[in-house]
Amino acid sequence: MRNRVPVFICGFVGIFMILKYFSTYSPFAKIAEELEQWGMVTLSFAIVLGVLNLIKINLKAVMERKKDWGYKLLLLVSMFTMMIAGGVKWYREEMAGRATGGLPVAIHDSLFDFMFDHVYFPLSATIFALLAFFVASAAFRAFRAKNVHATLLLVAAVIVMIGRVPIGGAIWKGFPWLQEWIMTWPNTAGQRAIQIGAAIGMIATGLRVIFGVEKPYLKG
Amino acid sequence: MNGSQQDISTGWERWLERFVALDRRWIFLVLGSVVVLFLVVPVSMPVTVSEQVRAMYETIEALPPGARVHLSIDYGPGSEAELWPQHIAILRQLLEKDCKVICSSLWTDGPPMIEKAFTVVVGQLEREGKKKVRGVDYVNLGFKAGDRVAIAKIGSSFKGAFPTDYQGNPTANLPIMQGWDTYRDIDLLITIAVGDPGAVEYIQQAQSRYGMRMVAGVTAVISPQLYPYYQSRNLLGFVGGLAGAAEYEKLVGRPGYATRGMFIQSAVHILIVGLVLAGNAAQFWLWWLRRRKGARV
Amino acid sequence: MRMPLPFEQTARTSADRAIHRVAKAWGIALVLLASESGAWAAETQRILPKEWNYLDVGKLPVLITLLLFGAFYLYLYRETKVGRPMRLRRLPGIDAIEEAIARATEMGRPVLFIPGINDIDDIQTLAGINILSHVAYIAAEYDTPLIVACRRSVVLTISEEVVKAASLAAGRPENYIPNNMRYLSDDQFAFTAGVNGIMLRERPASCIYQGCFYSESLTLAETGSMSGAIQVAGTANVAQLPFFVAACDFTLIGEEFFAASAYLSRDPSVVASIEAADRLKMVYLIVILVGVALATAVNLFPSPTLMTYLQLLKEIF
Repeated sequence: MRNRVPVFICGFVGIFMILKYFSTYSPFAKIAEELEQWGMVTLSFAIVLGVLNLIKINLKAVMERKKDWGYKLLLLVSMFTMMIAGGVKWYREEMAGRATGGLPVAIHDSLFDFMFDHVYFPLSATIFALLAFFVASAAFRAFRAKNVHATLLLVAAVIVMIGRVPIGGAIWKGFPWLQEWIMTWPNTAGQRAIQIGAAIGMIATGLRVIFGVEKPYLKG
Repeated sequence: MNGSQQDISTGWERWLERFVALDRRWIFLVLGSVVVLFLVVPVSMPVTVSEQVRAMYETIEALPPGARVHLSIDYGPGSEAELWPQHIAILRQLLEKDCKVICSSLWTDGPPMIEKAFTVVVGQLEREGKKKVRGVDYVNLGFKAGDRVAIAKIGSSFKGAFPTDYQGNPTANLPIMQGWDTYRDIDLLITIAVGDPGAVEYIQQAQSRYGMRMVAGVTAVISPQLYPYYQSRNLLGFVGGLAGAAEYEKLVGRPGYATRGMFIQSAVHILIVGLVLAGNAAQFWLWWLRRRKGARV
Repeated sequence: MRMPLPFEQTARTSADRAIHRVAKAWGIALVLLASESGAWAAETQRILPKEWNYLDVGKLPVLITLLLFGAFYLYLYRETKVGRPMRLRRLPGIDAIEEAIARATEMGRPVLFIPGINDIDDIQTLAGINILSHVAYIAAEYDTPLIVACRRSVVLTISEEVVKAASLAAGRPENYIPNNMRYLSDDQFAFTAGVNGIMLRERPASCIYQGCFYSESLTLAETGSMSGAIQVAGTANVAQLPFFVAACDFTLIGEEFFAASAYLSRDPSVVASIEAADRLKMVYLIVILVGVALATAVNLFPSPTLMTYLQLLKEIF
């Protein structure tokens, strides 16, 4: 029974989603949309579980003065500061909304916005920018002509890297054309092959889950 | 003689081994230095326009004045460095052509990017004597949660998906939103996107369903994924990464941040190619030295 | 001038008439447009019987795919049940997972597992959790600590249950350490920074990435490589595959990633679905080849019959 109920729920919801996808019959669409809303609400509430996990693990480490407890303390302080600032912003918007007779009001000069713009934005951009450095080091290590396949990969990578930027055309007029040819034909062929394979794999996995052949959510 | 020759080859071998397994922090240092150097000393580069970028430019150029364009800004500050230049170039082209620009985002941190771009471009146009009015010529509808489901919802009713705009004004009262509501009424869909949800999701959920004209601006990493859709004409054109943005800036005749960044990007690419080739040469030389040594022993 | 020709007028041979009957059964009315220049174009009209009104005809090709898959699956499942041997080719990437855990055991260091960065509604996350179950089982058998880093709280909750159950099944319930099941952040780059911190501070000997990844893929894989870990990745996200291939020791590409759970479990019902997917792929391969041949033939020898066949193929697939 403990296992059957979740499998039934999964199958029931899954079948409605399939019906909604293929059918123009409006009740299916309505029920599926309702189920989607439930799913979104459930997922939104689940964030509480994550926050509790974060607090439990990091608070324990701070209390027990475990290795690197300073970072964990910083994490908790940052998290609560953002949460409180977000709460204050929400409260101010609610109050302003009531003053205008229930119309939604958006406030963009709060502490939350300030931290979003001046702390979160630059930090996000920094982590993303690390990618450029890692691309260089990964390319240096990975593109070695160890065999025929690796040599083909190396040659294609060099042509695309040079042809993609203006200096490629300045070195040799054929580089941009060669680059474009590699991207348009061999690349597209490979992309399509992988996409078709992956799409069929997704269909197989999706159906296995919907019909309860595989129950990754029920391994407990 | 033989002994000293062996010493030399052992010395070379040691150096080559070190280079082949070079600590990546050296690569980071050199890369960072090259970027900083060319930021300080700018050098201009001639830009060659690729076919798909030209196709995107021509699709937008063909729009009549007053055409409705849904511009979905699906990136956040993390990818601003790569996508901001194309965002600005495309937005300016649309507003200059008197298109009605309806912006929204599927990313929580997208709406501030929309606001920032409006402030820059509308400000530029105002200084040039072309006044654009919020709610009449352009609108920021804000963020819509739900990824793929959200795309379907937006497509079936813009006013239903966004009851208010980012400023809190009811969308039903905005002049730009009068007389239309679904993707069937949109002349062109543009997404400037960094990942999922982004261009591929818009093609699957909106373009293939409603059949409207669509173009996209994406990061260099995502652009190889769009070639199949460009060939199948789901996408009428696309711009990929900073290099694509520089090509677009050339087409709109307003070289900007991306064009300035082209020499830096060229230098970095050449540096990486140089490192890769040097690494291979070192590996080959090492193999040859060891082989020779093995043969001698 | 373009002259529309209904299909009936273009059908000359018995094969043409057979195709016409197939088309009619699908509610497809084929109309050919002939021009004086001799070029042909085809137009399709859908004339469906009333009872088909509830079907979104634009999605017929997807429905056909599902039905074909279902038919292959049922047939192969029955065959497997009656003793037909299961055939799965070796996947070095999956074999490498066990080696990676063994290495961590030898070094006395933990294994780090990331089930992608998407939520549980992504099929790749489900496939990743399937693999996690096997990884947790092997890690428990080898008595090696397993750290699971999640970006979504629902994924964390399910991962906790999966690791707990696998450790129990392996006879070592103590191998499930609640503090090693970590939710880091819902934000993509904050999560990336958090995982990098784990890699550099706790130095896992092996990093296993199985699920949907985006631009953080290379940052994670390069940091893992920097910490000296052996790395096995798997994703169906095509844009990230080159990064994993460059920075990881082994990568499961696209469908291999989805086949991994069948390979690991050897459960006949799951293996049958992998074989069914392969057969479906063969069908599509044939359809693509026939389509390419027909399109080429239409260009070389313009003919209403060939055009009709091509149009019909497009409509069905």
